[in-house]
Amino acid sequence: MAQKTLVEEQVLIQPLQAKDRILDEATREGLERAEEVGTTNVWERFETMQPQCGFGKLGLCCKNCNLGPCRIDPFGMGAQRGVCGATAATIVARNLARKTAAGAACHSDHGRHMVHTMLMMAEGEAEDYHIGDPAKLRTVAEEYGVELDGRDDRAIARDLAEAMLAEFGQQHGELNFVKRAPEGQQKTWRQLGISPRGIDLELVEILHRTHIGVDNEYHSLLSSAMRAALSDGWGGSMIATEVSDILFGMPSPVRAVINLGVLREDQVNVVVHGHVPLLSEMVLAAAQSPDMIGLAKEKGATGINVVGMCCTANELLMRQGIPVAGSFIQQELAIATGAVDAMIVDVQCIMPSLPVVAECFHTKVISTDPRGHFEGAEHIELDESRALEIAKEIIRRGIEAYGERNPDRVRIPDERMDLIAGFTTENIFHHLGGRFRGSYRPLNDGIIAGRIRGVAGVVGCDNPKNMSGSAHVEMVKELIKHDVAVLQTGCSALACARAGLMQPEATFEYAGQGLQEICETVGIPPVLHLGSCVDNSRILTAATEMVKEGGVGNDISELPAAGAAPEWMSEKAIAIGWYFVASGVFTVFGTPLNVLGSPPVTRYLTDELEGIVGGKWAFESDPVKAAHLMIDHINKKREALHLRPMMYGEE
Amino acid sequence: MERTIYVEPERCLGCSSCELACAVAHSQSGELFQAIRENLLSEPRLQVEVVGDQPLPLHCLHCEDAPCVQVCPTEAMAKTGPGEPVICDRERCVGCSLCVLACPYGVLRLDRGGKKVLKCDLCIGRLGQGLEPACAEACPSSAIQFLPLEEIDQREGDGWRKEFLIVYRGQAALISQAGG
Repeated sequence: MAQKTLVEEQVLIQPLQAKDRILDEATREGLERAEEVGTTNVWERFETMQPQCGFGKLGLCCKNCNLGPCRIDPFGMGAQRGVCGATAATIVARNLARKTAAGAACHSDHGRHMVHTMLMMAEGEAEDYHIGDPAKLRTVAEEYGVELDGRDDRAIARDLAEAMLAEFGQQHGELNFVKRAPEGQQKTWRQLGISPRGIDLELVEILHRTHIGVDNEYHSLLSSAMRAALSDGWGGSMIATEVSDILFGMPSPVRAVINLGVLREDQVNVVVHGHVPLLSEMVLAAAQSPDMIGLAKEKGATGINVVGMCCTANELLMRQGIPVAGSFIQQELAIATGAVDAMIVDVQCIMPSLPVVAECFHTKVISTDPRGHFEGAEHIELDESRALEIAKEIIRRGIEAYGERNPDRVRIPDERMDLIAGFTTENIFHHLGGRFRGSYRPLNDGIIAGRIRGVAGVVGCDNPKNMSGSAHVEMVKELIKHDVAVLQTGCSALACARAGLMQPEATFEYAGQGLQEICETVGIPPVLHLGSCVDNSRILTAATEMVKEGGVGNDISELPAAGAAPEWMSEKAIAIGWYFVASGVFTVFGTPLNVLGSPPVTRYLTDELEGIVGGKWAFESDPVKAAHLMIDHINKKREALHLRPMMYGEE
Repeated sequence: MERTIYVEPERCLGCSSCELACAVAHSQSGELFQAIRENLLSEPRLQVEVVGDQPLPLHCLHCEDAPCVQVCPTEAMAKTGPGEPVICDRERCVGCSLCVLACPYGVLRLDRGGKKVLKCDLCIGRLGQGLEPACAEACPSSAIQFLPLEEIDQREGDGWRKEFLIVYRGQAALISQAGG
């Protein structure tokens, strides 16, 4: 009988593994090396974790109180309410709100750290920091109502820092940058009661609301999630971006190199990894000082190679053009090359496994932020009042470790790719309109005339659950092929840079004809790197500039624009997704938010929200299909604006 | 090599992942996100019960001399050979519940509609694709494993577990009687 054969001849097969979906050559080589030395890695751990919990995927488990833990049966036979009486909708919405708050807290605490250091600098307590962009300081200070006339930069910086810090504890009113948003968004937020009042307040309130027996109604919970996300996008993140520009200078287009091949056999390799640029900028400065270079040469190295990882890479790439070793997914592989002498980490997206991988080599993992400690790492804490001194101490550790490096165990993948980064809301003006007539007019005209279909923000993490970075590449290629100009940040930007999409040459290879004409005229790649994940705030302000320039919509929700995070994994990505959606942007996530366990909540997020805030969520794991959801949305917006048909037709 | 489902009760954390995976495996789409939206919602073929403080998954044991097969008046319930699973042919089942009463382990029950018996089929469809039964694959603590019979024989030497299993079988019988 057939059944007999089945049981008797049962041979367990190996399904396709996460690592089989890696397209990047350096990542593949790096992983092979990690397997060869037998160390742990994210792909292996991902496979071990399979299958992942279905209740968790659907958002149906609640651990908020000790009546539970509870879970709702999505097939309707078991529990339909938690012990407290919470429905699937309540549980799903509470969980999503908490995740949003956690994500927003990361960006906003990053922003707070930046402002606090600016205050120390202004008061003479952090002498290693300076005002890198006095013009931007004055522009932002003016927005905060700081008196400028006849005052020196430090006095202005002090008042600006105090005003910004006050917004973290602000209890009523509105955050200052809310008034940067288009009128339409401001009006919507006020009508819905979701205009952010204070940065910390919105996050604390979510913790209160999601405690047992407080806010049990999903519309209300999700409104509070939007408010918290807006306090991030138009608050904490935006503050982080602006203060980073003020302290370290506004980025300008810069040519650089990316991928594991930027590590060097002949130099001390120092990888700066994490998010906040406060220490990494100092590490770079220290590495360039003659005494440190001298020390490295004494040990036989030809110099010190400071390279970036994750969003720290983006911060330093944008402003200093330093090489990028890799994105989130590649962090363990960098160590597995055997060539990293020190990996310096601060906060967010740093795998707890790094010291374990480092044990196989001579690599020093050094944690530096009081918020981020790692078992097995050395902790040398950043003290802003003597930042350069600390940075030198760290570099010294790297140089010492270099002395212990075993050249026989070094395997650096020979993969490097050129890219251009350094675009900002402000400097896109100049590229589009020329230095003396900076304006978004050419962009808007290009859209109106049908050369450019629209604009897409493709951002977020990379994730073995998807394609370990390649989903970004597939999506962005499809978008630019259809004349959609793409703005990128975070690890998504790094994935596309690795694939060569941020070189001007990519225009001719991948972009549609209309987009090609614009890129060629202006001299920019079809895919623009706007920075780290807090710099998603630049996408919000760029969209606002498009609205202000006129002709492509009266608020952000009317723009022919869309957003995506094809491989999201962090809670920060949820906060980002939310502030895009709440600001009127159609936003596609590669794997669903953990909400499908409640059909009403799913319907609200993916459909009903559009009529309320103008933006909505969509979930699509196929990156090309997801790109077409975005393209369809952009087409719909073009039609609503009665824009001309696309100049070169619909291929 | 014959394999069957083997439960180590002391490893069970009561997470119900097996129930969820079972329902997904027996849904029309076979995929979680779609399965929860199908018109006719799927149901698990096993249940996680609690014996004292210990949760444990209750499966059909695919008895060699199966009471459910003996009592089935329509020959819907059938065992195709020694060591093979007991399968219920849903086309033939009339929902008389005789097997539910007859099962000494209380693992059979009528489906949501109350017209047919719902029963573990050892995931024969998945076995054909070279996969394990869904419950075994889903169990995060390896309380449910799909093991060769010889290995199970060796493991049964564990005295503590044997004692536990006696309690579990007794309790299961009680549950069955209460249900009946």
